[in-house]
Amino acid sequence: MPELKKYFLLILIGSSFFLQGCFDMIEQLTLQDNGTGSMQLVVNLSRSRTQLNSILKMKKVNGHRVPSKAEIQKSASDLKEKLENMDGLSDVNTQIDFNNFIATLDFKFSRISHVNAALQQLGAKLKDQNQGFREIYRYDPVSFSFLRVNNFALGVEYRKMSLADREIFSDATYTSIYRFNRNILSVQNPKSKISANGRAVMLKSSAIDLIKGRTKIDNQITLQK
Amino acid sequence: MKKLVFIVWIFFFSVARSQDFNSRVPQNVFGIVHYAGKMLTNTIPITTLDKYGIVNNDFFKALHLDTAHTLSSTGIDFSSDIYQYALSQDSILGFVTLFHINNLKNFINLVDANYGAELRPLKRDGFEMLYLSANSAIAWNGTNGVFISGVFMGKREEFYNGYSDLDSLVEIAPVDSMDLAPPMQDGDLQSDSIAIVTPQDKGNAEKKKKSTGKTRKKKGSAEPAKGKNKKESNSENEITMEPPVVQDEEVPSDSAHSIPYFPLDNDSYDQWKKRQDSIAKYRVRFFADSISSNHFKNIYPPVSMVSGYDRVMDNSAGLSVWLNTNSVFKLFGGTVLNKSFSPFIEFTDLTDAPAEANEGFCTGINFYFLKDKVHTETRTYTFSDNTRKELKALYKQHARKSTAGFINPQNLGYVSVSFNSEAAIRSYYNQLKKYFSYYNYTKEYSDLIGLYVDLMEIIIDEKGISDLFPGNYLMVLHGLGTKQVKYTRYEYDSNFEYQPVEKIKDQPSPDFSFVMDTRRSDFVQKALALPLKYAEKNNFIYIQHNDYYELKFPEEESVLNSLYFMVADGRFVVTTNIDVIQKVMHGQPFDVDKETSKRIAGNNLAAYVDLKGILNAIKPQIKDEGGKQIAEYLSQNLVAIHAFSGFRKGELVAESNFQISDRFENSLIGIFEMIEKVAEIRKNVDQDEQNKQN
Repeated sequence: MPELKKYFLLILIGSSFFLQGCFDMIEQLTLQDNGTGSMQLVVNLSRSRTQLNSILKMKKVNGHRVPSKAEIQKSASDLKEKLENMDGLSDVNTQIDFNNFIATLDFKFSRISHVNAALQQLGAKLKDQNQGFREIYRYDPVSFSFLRVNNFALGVEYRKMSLADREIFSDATYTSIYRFNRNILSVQNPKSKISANGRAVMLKSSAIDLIKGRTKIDNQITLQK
Repeated sequence: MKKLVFIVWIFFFSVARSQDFNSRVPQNVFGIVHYAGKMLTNTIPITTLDKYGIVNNDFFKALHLDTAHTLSSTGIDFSSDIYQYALSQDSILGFVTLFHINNLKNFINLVDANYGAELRPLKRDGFEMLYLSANSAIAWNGTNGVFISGVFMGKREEFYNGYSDLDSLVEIAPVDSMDLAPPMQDGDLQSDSIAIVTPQDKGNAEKKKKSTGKTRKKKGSAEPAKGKNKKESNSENEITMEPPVVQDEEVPSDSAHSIPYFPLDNDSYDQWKKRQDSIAKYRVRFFADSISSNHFKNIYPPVSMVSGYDRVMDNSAGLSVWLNTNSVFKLFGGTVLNKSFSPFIEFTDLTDAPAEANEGFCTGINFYFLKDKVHTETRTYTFSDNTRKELKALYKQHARKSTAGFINPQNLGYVSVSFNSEAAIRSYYNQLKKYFSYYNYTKEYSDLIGLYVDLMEIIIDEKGISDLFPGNYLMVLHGLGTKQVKYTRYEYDSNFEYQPVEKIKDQPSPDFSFVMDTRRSDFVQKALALPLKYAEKNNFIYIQHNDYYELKFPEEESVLNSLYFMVADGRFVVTTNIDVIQKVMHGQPFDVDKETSKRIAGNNLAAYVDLKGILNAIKPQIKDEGGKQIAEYLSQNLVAIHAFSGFRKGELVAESNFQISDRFENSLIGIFEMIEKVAEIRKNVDQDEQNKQN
C-alpha cells in the first residue's frame, strides 16, 4: 500500500530535519551581438554548510554514496579539462569553495551552440540520461532573438525520487540572468523581470515552483535592432 | 459412561477446532498474522472503517477490489478471526488468507464483480475454487474461504541455443489429455497447450499415442535430462525433457495439472520464457489446490502444536504476529535464496542439519488497542535449552540505578541498553562453530575451524574486553536547541549584478549525552588525554579542564559548539551539555522520576521518545505548508513511545506503548483518524496550490 507508506514516511521525514536541504542555483549568460559571450553557473549550498560538513563525514546518505572532497575536486578538474578541449570554449574555470560550499563554473564561448555542447558534456557528467541538457539556448543574430528552452521533465523526475531526496528541493531556489549589449524589446515569460538599464532579464523561482510547473524556465527574449 | 464422556469431549473439541482457523494453519509456516475479528470490530466497527478513505481507496485498491463495495457488503465476516500466513512449499513462496463468510451471496457478488463474472468456479470436493491470475486463487464453501497467492521460486530450466534441437526428441502427450483440466481462464495457454508427460502419465500417454496416432516422431525414451547433460545426450539422441514433478502427496494428481508444453519449433527465447512462465503458473496452481484442499478437509496438524507457539501468541490480542526463525532459515536457505543466489546464502539452510542445529526462535508480537495507547507485547521463545542458557547469561546484567541520573526530566528521548559483554563474546564462539559446521562448503572442515575458533578464544581476553566495555550504555537526547551559523547568499542590484553577502541563521542543534560503563577508567583517561598532543598539529581545538576535556568546533560552522568528555565513577561520558559534566563533578544527578529509574535498572533495554516534544522542536524548521500543518496536527495528537525489554522466565519479553491523545474513542480509531487527517491536509494543501496556480 504505497499511500500508507507515504503517510508514515512523511512523519519520518518531518523528523529528519537534519537532512532538510536548501541551495541556490544561478545561471548567468552574457551574450554579445555577434553571438559570442560568457557563461557562469553557480551552485550555492552555503545555507546547508553545517549539514554538508556532517554529510561529508558519512559514507552514505539517503542511500546515496557520499563522495570525498578529493573525488568532487577531481570531478570538477575532469570537467574543466573536457570543456577546455571543446571547440569554441575558452577561459574555462571551475572552482569549489569547501568552506562555504559554493561551486562555480565559468567560461567564454564563440557561439551559443558551443554552450549547448558544453552543457551536454556537463549533462553526461551528471548522468543525464534524458538528454535534458540538449540545445537549451538558441540565438538568432539576424532577428536578435534569444530563446531559452527547458528540456527537463522536472515533475516526472521529481516524482521518481524518494521522499527523503525530494526534501533537498524543499527550500531551493533557481535564478537565471541573461545579459545583452542591446536593449530588450520583449520577454515572453511573464515571471521574468527586465533590469533597470533594460539590458538584462532575471527569472527567480523556488525549485518547487519549477518542478510543479508553476514557473516556467522557457523564455523568448527579443532585442531591439 | 467414561467412553461416552470421552466421545462427547472429542466431539466438542473437534467442533471447537473446526470453528477456529488456528487449527487450519499448517506447522511449516514461517509467519502468521492473526486478526481477532471480534476484538477489532468491537474497537472499531466495520461501518466506521468504511468511512475512511484509506480503507475504501487504498485498502480496496491493494486488494484489486472496486471501491463501489464497502467492507460491510463483501460477505466476509470481519467480526470473526482472520488468519494470514506465509509458507514455502513445493518451491512456492505462498501467502494465504483464511476468512469466514457471513453472506455467501454478497461474497460471490464481490468475486464476480472484481475478478470477472465470466470465470467459472471449479467444483471441488466440498468447496468451489477460482484461479484469479497466474499467481492467485480463491476457494470457498458456505462458511469460510481461503485466498492463496504464490510466487514460484524454483530454478528455471537453463536456456541455451541448442534447446530447440530437443523439440523432436520430446515426448508429448496429445492435447486431449487436458480434457480434465480446469477451465483455462487466462486464455494465454489454451491455444498451444500440449501436456508434458509426467512419469505417472507416461504409461497412459503411450497408450493414447498408439490408439490415436496423434503423437510426434519420437527419437528417444523419456529420461530426465538437465542443462549440460541435455547437450551431451543430445548427440546420442537419448534425451527427453524432464517434466516438473510435484513431490507433495497432498497435491491432486489428476491430469488437470498437466503442464502445457510449448513446442520449441525454433530456439526463440520467447518460447523458452513462455514455457517457464507456464511451469511457474501451474506450480502455483498445484500449490493453491493443495492449500485449499487441505484447508477445507481440515487435516493439518495445527501450528499451535509447535513448541512455544502458545507461550508467545495471545489470540485475545487485537492483532498478533508470529514468526518462526527455523522456518525462515529453511525458506531463505532451502527454497528461495538457495535457488536464486547460491552458494552465498546456502549456509543458512539448516534443513538437513542435525536437530540441535535448529536452535532458532519463535516470536509472537501481540498488539492491544487500548484507550490512549497501542500496547505491544513481544515474546521470543527459543526451542533450545542451550540457547536459553546463553540468553540468560547474556541478559543477566542490568544498568546501575544511578544511570538514570543522566536523564533530565524534560528530555526528548533516551535509550538504555544493558547486556553482559563477556557472555556475548563467549556465545559468539559457539555461533561461529555452528555457522561453519552447517555451511555446506565448510562442514567438512568443521574440526579444523573449531580448532581455530578455540585458538581465538585462548588469544582473546573476554574478561579484559568486558572490563573495558561491560555492556551498559545510555544515550539521552536532552533537548533540541538552536545555534546561529553563517552562510552566504547572493543579493542583486537593479541591473541584476550580484554580490555575495554573509548572513546568519538559526540552525537546530541537538543537546545529547552518551554514557558508557567501564571498569578500566585508567585506560579511558589515557585515551582522552592523547588528543591534547596532536590538537595543534592537526588543527583542532581540544582543551583539558580540571576534570574533563573539551573538543571545540569552529564558531558558526557546526551545529555543535563543543563536545565534553569525562571519566567518573566507572563511567565514560560524552556530552554536548556542560550541565551534565557539572552535575557529575558535584555528584548531583538529575531528579528523574521513579518510573524511569525503575525501567532503566530493571530491563535490558529501556527506551523513550517524546513525540510531542520532538514535533514541537522541529516545527519551526519545516518550510512547506503541508509539512507545517501536519506537524502541528500530530504534535497535538501524538504523545510518546515507551519501550522496555528483558529476559524473564526463559523468554525475551519486550513491551512498548505508543501513546496518543486521549481525545479519541480508542487508539485504533485514533490511528485511523490521524492517517485520514494527514491525507486530508495534504490534499487540501495540494488543492490550494492548484487553485493558486490557476
